[in-house]
Amino acid sequence: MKTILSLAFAQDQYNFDEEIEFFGEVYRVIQYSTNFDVELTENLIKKYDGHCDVICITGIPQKIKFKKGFFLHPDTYRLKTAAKYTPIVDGQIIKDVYIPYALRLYYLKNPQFFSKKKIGFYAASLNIGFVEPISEICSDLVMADPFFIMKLPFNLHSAKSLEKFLKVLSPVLKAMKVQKKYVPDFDNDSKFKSRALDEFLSCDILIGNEANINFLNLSHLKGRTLIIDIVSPQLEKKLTESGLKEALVCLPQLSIYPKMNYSILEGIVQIKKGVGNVVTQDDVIKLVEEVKFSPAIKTYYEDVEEVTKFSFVIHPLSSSYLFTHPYAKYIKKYSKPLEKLTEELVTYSPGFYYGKIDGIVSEKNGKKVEGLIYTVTETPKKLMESKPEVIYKKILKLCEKADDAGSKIMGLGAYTKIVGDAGVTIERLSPIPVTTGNSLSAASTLWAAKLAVEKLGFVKKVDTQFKGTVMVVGATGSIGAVSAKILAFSWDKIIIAAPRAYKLMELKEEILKINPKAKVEISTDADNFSDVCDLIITTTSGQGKTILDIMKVKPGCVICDVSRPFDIKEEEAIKRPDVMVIASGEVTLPGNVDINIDIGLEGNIVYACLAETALLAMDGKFESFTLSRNINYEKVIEIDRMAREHGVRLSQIMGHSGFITDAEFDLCKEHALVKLARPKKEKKHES
Amino acid sequence: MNILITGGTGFLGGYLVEELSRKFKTVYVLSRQIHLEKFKHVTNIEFVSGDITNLEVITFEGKVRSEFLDSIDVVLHAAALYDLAATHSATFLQNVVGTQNILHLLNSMKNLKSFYYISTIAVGDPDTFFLEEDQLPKRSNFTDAYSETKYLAEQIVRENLSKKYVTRIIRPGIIVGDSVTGKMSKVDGPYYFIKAFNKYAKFLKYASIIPLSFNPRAKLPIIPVDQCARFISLLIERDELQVNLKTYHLVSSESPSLEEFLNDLNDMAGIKTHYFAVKQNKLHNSLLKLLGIPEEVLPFMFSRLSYDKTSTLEDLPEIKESTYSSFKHILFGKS
Repeated sequence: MKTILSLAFAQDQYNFDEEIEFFGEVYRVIQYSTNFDVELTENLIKKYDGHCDVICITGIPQKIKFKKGFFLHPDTYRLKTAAKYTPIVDGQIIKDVYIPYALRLYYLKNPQFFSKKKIGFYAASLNIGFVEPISEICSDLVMADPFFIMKLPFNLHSAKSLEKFLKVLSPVLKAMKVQKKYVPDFDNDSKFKSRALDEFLSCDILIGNEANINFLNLSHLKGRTLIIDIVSPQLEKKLTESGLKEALVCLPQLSIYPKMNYSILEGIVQIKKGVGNVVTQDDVIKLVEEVKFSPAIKTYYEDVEEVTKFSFVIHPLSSSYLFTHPYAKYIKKYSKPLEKLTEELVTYSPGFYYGKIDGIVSEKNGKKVEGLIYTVTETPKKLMESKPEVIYKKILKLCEKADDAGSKIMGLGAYTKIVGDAGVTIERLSPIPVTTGNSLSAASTLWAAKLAVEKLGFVKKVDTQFKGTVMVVGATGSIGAVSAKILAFSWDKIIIAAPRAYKLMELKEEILKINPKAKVEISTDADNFSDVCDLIITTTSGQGKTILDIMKVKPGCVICDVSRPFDIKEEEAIKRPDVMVIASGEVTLPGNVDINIDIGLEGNIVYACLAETALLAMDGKFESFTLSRNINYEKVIEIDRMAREHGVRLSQIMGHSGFITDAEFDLCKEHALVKLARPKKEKKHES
Repeated sequence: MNILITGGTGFLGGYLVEELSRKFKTVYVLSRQIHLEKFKHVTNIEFVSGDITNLEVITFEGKVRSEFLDSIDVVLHAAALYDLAATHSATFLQNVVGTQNILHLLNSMKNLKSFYYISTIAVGDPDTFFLEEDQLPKRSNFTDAYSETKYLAEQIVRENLSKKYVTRIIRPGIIVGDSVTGKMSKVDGPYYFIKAFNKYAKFLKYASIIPLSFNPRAKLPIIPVDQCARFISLLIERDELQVNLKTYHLVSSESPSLEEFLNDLNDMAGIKTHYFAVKQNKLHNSLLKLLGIPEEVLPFMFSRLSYDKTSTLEDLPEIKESTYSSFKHILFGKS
């Protein structure tokens, strides 16, 4: 049996002597924690030199390579050369090869983990393997080396300055002993907090290795994210106690052996190579490929009570809404003549916090979510009139406010998402991700359409399949295309109508690619087919032009008008009481929702775009989900799935003027039945 | 029944070997050098050459080794380096590395029934009030290498409990000389006071009040070496091998408080000095150093620890008979 002596230089009270199996071979691993005692470490090396097969040292400062030359601490040199017969390894080769690879691997899979994050190194010089991949991913770096090593009150911000710092101070550093007492304890609550520590603790992600954070006061880790090379059971306990939120562990090798670390691993590679051969990077690459090491995120502290916050921007729906603010309660009665003037005046005021939505609880994971509602002061009219830049500025101010208040994502409500480039610029400049919420709006509208068709009951339904015909008018637009693709699954026949034939043909091919069984027909004129359709979705940008003649539509048809302004005018809709015209679907959020302000809807019902923001917060998916005017088929499917899992449900179908009640549906049905019966009679007369 | 004992050449070990030789068939004494001088009169003793700091503790190989190891029923690990002047690394090597190597050796003993580990009550945290028997307190501040390494060693023992044999941890108090002959091998613990007292008794006669930084209620957990050895052998003899782990505190009943102890010293020399307790401060600490009392004794002077003795009293009612008053005249008589 091969014997491995492991010396944990920077650890304390962690000694063991065990037999472990690795790669089918059994090794006796003896570990002693020497607690920064160079003399003891050296004595142990000398004592067992020649008696064991490999000596692995962890926690000693490693060799730092520069473009020209390197820095090596004399103590490291002293320890690494203390043995005459037994090879000494310190895991540096594995770290050099594996850590950058692991970080890249994780980054490529989860780019949002690093996006817009400020990253802090406890001591970049001791974690040199992390520096290069991280500086490629992020630009906002804080390296606390001067503070960590010498308690100096400043930080470094780039790999270049780190090199300079180490070069300049190398004589001093070489003279310093590696000792625990020189390292500040990173006490977050201390009275005299160093400026450097303040800056370091403002980082979103902290990076350290086990050796250098093991002996710190870990209370500063509460609720933070950490990237760490390896976590021993001993450190794991400490991390759990500290209340750390999550850690990205580069080598979560627990399934193999909990006491393994980089240098023991390298020691095993060394044993396999035999005495006299030096472990090279190629051996490590082979090992990594063979065992398939990969990094993993580990959650330590999941506070169910913790409330995730999201924000949402709204605006007054009309000038009369300007007086719904609680402060304007007393003058509301006399507000009519003031409206015009106020509408003009309030545009000079910046946006402000309006109220909040409380008590949203996900049905999937029980996560509590709270929504902060901000408002800009412009009415829709003013929003469309003023320069987009002015509105951007206002919304960005609100984004910063929301960020300060701790919210993780911002949703743009109603007209604020139509201004300018529909959120793209705002997203680019905002400190938190921004979403327009259009994906869920689209999804909920389709839910509403489906529900309306079911309520009228003129279309036969087999399983989930509607035996009827659906038409999408304006199908080549982004919402139209997505609706067409989704509806093609659940309807027997779909007709796509739009003015440009070539685009329609492209879309048909796309639909058939997703769903080869679909029956798709193309038309450039919606009126040609409107008399056979059971559901019509219009999403045109006709700007008030009549696209669809409602008089030609089949009785009992549901028209879902997604366009704003509406394609089907209210006056027109009244002419056909036997046709149901719906505008959108609004949803309810899961949990015991309490909205302390008036957002223009009744009760707990919220706008679908607000619900999307809440959903993203519930799912922990803090990314700019939907931006610009285009929406994406995959995103709609995804948000639809998320909504179902977390419990966001369709609650009301909106018509032109408010909710459509069941009574209205019944009335419509009656009219339709009458109308459907009449032509038949006429036909009979004829015959 | 055969027993393997480490540290048999030490102060406590010598007494232990004699006690155990009456109860066991063969007493194997593991030591670096083989010197029979000390145990000439003991017949059933065999010396085993070995060093607990080596990875393979015993030097036998092959069949001899396995036969020897299989013949052992009880292991008593009493070897430790207790020298306040020794370096940290030497102490670490003997106490921590030695214990870990012994534990490794135990794995290859097929017929082992029990493992006795001699720890110390110095593993207790002096900042707390109570040292429980069945657990090791969490501690990270150590003033001397001895208590630190013994703490680490006990930690290793507790982490490596085996199902094949039972583990007994024995924490003796400060070991003082023989309660009958007064023999003591070296100056230690309370003997520092006796030494200093003898030196300055003449001066003390003229001082009625002396400020001294100490905690008058600090208990001196002492135990005479012969009684300690006898208790250990009694524990080994009576062991029913039922519970997997047991810890015993071997401290004399009615252990004196520091104030009592100083008063007894006064009585011995016929002085009537009153010791005025002041808080711990640097000036007094250096004064104590002048008196020849090393800094390592300080934690005991301010310790407020009392020691849990539940299972000790259960298995060893005789400990009640070992009282301070019964041997204090011998303690002060010859030093």
